[in-house]
Amino acid sequence: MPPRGVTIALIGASLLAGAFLSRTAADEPPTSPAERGAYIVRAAGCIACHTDKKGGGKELAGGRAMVTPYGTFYTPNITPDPETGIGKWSDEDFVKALSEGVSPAGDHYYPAFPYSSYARMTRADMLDLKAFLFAQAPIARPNTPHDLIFPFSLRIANWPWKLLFFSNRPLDPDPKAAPEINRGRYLVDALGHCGECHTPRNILGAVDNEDYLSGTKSGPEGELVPNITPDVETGIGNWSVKDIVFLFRTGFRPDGNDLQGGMREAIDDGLKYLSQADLEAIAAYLKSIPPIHYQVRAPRPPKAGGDFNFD
Amino acid sequence: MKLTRAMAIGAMAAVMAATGVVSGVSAADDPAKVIGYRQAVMKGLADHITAIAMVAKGEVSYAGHVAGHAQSMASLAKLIPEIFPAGSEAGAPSEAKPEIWKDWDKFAAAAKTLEDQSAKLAEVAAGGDVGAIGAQLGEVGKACGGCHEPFRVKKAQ
Ligand code: HEC
Ligand code: HEC
Ligand code: HEC
Repeated sequence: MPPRGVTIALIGASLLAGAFLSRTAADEPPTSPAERGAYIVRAAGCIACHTDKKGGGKELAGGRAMVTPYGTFYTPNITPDPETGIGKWSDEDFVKALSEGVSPAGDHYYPAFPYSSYARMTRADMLDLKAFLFAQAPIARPNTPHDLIFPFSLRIANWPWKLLFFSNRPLDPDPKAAPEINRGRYLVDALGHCGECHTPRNILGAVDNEDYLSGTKSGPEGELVPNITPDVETGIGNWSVKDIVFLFRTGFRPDGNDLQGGMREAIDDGLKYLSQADLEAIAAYLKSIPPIHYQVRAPRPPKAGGDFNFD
Repeated sequence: MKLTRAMAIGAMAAVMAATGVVSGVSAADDPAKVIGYRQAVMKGLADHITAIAMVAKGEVSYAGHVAGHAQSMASLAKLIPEIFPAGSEAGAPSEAKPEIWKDWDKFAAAAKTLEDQSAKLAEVAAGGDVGAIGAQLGEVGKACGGCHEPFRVKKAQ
C-alpha cells in the first residue's frame, strides 16, 4: 500500500486535472442506437416527468401529476407495453409525436409535454431515443386521464394554441458561433428544454422568448425559477464555467446552497450523467447569450445572528 | 478528572440525543439567538461545501482536506435536532417551517441522513476514487434538499 501522503498527492493530481468533475460513463462513446438513446433520455429529462416517483411508480411508466393553472396533467406510460404504453407505435408515430405534437390517432398534445422544445431535436436523435425506450421492460399501467378545467379540458383547444405559438423549425447551427456553443444551444433548447422552466410565459402559457432564460416567479408548480442569463447582478454572470458544471454534477451552487424541486430532478435524473464536454458546452452557451436584468428572488432579509454581529 | 461545564453539557446532550428527548428553549436562551445560532451552523455546512467545491473545480489544491470537511459536516449534522428546540419557531426572521415540530421524527431522520451521507463522503474521499467523490457529493446535496424541501421556507435563498 502506498503511504497515505502519496495517495493524497495522487488524489490531488487527478482533482487538479478536473477529473473530479469529469469522470462519468458518458465519456465512453456509445455504440448502439439504444445506448445513444440512453444518453439522450438523460439529456432530455424524459424520466423525471414520465415517472411517478412520489407514488412509487416504475421508471417511464407515467402517472406523475403535474399541477398547472389549467388543471392537473397525468403523464402517460411511455414503456413499450403494447396495451397501456407505446409498444405499438411505429418510428413515424414517435417522430410525429415529438416533432409535431400529434398523437398516432391525430390528436394534438397539450404543451405540458414540451414538444415545442423536442421538435428541434434531430430525427436521428429521436430514433435513438425510441430505440432506447423500446429496449426497456414493458410495464402495464393504464394512463390516468388528465383533470383539467374548461375549456382546456377540450383537446381541440390545443389547435389554436399551436397555430399561434408552435414552430418545429429545426435549430440551425449558427455558422459564426464555435461548435461548442452550437452544441450547448442544442442541449439547452432542443434536449434540456431549460426554457420550459427558465423562460417566463405569456398569458396563454406560451414561452416568451423576448425574455429568454431570464427566470420567472411563477414557474412549474409555483416554483421560483432563477434568471440564468449572464447578467452579473440578477443572473449568473459571476459564475465560472466550472461553477456551472459543478452545479450540474452535484446540485450545489458555488455558495454551498443546495438546489431543490424541479432543478434537483433535472440534475438527478439527467444532467449529472452527461459528459464533461456536454456540460461545459451548456455552460459556455449560457455565458454567451444576451444578459437580461431581471430579479427573481427578493434580496434576503437581515438575519438574526447577522453576518458580522458578534455582540 | 475534573468535570468541566462543557463536558457536563456534552454528556447531557448525548443522553438527550440517545433517548430522543427534544429539549425546549432553555430559560437562558433567547429564541432569537437560537435562530441566529442555528443559521450560523447551517452557514457552516454551506461553507464546507463551498470549500470542497473550490477543490473540485481545481481552484485550490487542498485535495487532502475533502475528507476533513466531510467529517466536520457529519459533526454539524449531529447538532441539527438540538438547534431546533420547541419554542424557537419565532422571535427572529427564520425560514424554519412549523412542520418541523409537527413532524419531528421525519425532521430528525433527515438530519441523520445528512450525518450518514457526510460520513460516507469522508470515507469515499479518503479512498480517492474521484468519480465516486463527485457522485457522493450529489448524495450529500440530496440530503440537504431532503430536509430543506419539506422544512425550510423557500423564498429568498
Ligand atoms: C415536463 C414534463 C414532460 C417531459 C420532460 C416529457 N414529457 Fe412526454 N408527456 C408529458 C405530458 C404531460 C404528456 C401528455 C400530453 C397530452 O396528453 O396531451 C406527454 C406525452 C408523451 C407522449 C405521448 C404518449 C401517448 O400515449 O400518447 C410521448 C411518446 C412522450 N410524452 C414522450 C416523451 C419523451 C421521449 C420525452 C423526453 C424526450 C418526454 N416525453 C418528456 C410530459 C412530459
Ligand atoms: C423543471 C423545471 C426546470 C428545468 C427543466 C430546468 N431548470 Fe434550472 N432551475 C429550476 C429551478 C426551480 C431552479 C431553482 C432551484 C432552487 O432554487 O432550489 C433552477 C436553478 C438553475 C440554476 C441555478 C441558478 C441560480 O441562480 O441558483 C441553473 C444554472 C440552472 N437552473 C440551469 C438550467 C439549465 C441549463 C437547464 C436545462 C438543461 C435547466 N436549468 C432546466 C427549474 C428548472
Ligand atoms: C434536517 C434538516 C436540514 C438539513 C439536513 C439541512 N438543513 Fe439547512 N436549513 C434547515 C432549516 C430548517 C433552515 C432554516 C433555519 C432558520 O432560518 O431558522 C436551514 C437553513 C439553511 C441555510 C440558510 C442559513 C441562513 O443564513 O439563514 C443554509 C445556507 C443551509 N441551510 C445550508 C444547508 C446545507 C448546505 C445542508 C447540507 C449540507 C443543509 N443545510 C442541511 C434544515 C436543514
